[in-house]
Amino acid sequence: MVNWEMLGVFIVVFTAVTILAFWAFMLSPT
Amino acid sequence: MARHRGYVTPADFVRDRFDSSALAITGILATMPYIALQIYGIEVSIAQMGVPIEISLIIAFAILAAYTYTSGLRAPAMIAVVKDMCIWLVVLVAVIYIPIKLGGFGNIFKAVHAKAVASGGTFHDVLPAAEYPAYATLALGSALALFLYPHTLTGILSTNSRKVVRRNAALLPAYTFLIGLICLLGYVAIAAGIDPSPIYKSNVALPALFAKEFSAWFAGFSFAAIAIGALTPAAIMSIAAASLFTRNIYREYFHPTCTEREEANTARTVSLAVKVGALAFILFFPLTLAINLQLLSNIWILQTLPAVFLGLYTNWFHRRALVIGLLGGLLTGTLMIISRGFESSVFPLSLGSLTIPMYAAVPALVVNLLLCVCLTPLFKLLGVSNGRDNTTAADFEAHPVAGSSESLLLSQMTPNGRDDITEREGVLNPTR
Repeated sequence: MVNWEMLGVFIVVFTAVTILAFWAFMLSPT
Repeated sequence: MARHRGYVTPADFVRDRFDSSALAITGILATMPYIALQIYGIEVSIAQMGVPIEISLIIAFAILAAYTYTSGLRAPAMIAVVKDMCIWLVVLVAVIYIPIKLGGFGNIFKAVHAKAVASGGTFHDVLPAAEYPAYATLALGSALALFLYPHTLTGILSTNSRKVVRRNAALLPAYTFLIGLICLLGYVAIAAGIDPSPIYKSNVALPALFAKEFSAWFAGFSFAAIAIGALTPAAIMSIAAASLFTRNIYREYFHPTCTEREEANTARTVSLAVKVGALAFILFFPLTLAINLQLLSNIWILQTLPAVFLGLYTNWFHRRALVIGLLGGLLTGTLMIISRGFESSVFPLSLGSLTIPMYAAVPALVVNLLLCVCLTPLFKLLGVSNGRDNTTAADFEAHPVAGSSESLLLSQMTPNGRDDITEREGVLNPTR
C-alpha cells in the first residue's frame, strides 16, 4: 500500500532540487 | 596536460600516447552495470514507499533518461552540492537518532554478535581470517578502479587547474568517512530487526530501516536524498560514456567531419542507449547483492590500468600488447564471474593445494599485465607497427595553458627540470 505522506514529501523534495538545478543551469553564463 | 591537449576522456590520452582507440569500448561497457546499480537504488527507494515494483523501475528509468536528455552535464554538476548536503543530513540523523532510539551502539553491536552466533557460520560480525585475502583484494581492486572510470576521469580532466584537482582529492576522505557511516547502518538495521525483503533481498535494508524508524515525512525526505544521490552520478556516467563514444569511436571511425551539433545529437542517443543497456543488467543480472553490479564494473574498468595509469609513466608498452592484455584481462575476469553464476565477484583461486578467495579484478589484472609485459618485447622484436606517441615530455611536467606551444612549455621549465625530462625521455622513448 502506498504511503502517501512519504511519497508526497519525496515528490516535493525531488522536484524542488531538480527545479533548483535547472534554474542554476538556465542562469549559468555558458 | 588535459587542458593543454584538450583531453576530455581517458581514451583521448591513450589515443595520443599509444596511437590506439581500443579503450573506449571498455569504458562504455564498464559504465553500464554501474548505472544499473544507481537505477536499482532509485527503484528500491520508490518501491519502499509502497509503489508497485514495475512502476518503480519505470519511474526510476524515466527520471534518469529525462534528466540527462534535457540538461547535459551541467545540471548534475549544479545539483551535486544540494545532493551532498541532503545525503550528509540523512546519514548524520540516521547514525545519531536511530542508535539513540535503539539504546546506543553497545546494544547494536550486541544484537549483531547475537545474530552471528545464532547463524552458525553463515554470518560474521567480525571479518573471519579466511576472508582476509578477499577483503584486501576487494579494497585494492576498488581503489584502483575508482579513478579509471570515464565519469571520474572526465571530471578530473575538465577541471581548470591542478589546484582544483588537489583540493577535491583532499576532500575525498570526507566521502569515504560518509560511506563508513552508511556501512554502519547495516548493523543498525540488524539491531532494528529489519528482515531481507522477498523481492529486493538485503538490498532493501537501509530504506526499510528509514521507513521503520523515521517519521513518514523524514523517511520521504531520505528517499528523495537517496534518489537524487543516485541520479547525479548515473547522469554523469551516462554522459561520460556517451562522450567517450562520440569522441573516440563515432568521430574517429564513422564521421570524422561531423559538426558539433551532430556530435551532441549522437551523444544524446548513445547516452539513452547506455541507459537501456543498464536496464538490461537490472532485468537479467541476479540482484541478490546489488553491489555485485559495481564490482563487475570495477573488474572491467580495471583492465584499462596499463594503458591509462602506466601510460602516464611510460610509453614502453606496445599498443598491440596493450589491446591483447586488455582483452585477456576482460575475458579472465568475466569468466571468473560467470563461474560464480554472477552471484559473487570473489573467486576461489587455487594455487596447488592452496585456495585463496580473491576479488576477480585483481587476478584478471595480473593476467592483463603479464600479457602486456611478455608480448611487448615480442612485438617489438617482430617489428609490428607501434604507432606514434604524440605526447611530449613537456606535456607531463609544465604548467600549460590552452593553446600553448611545446617551446613555450619547455621555456617554463627550470634548467634542472629540463635536463631530467630530456634524460628520462631518452630512456622511455628511444624511438624519438
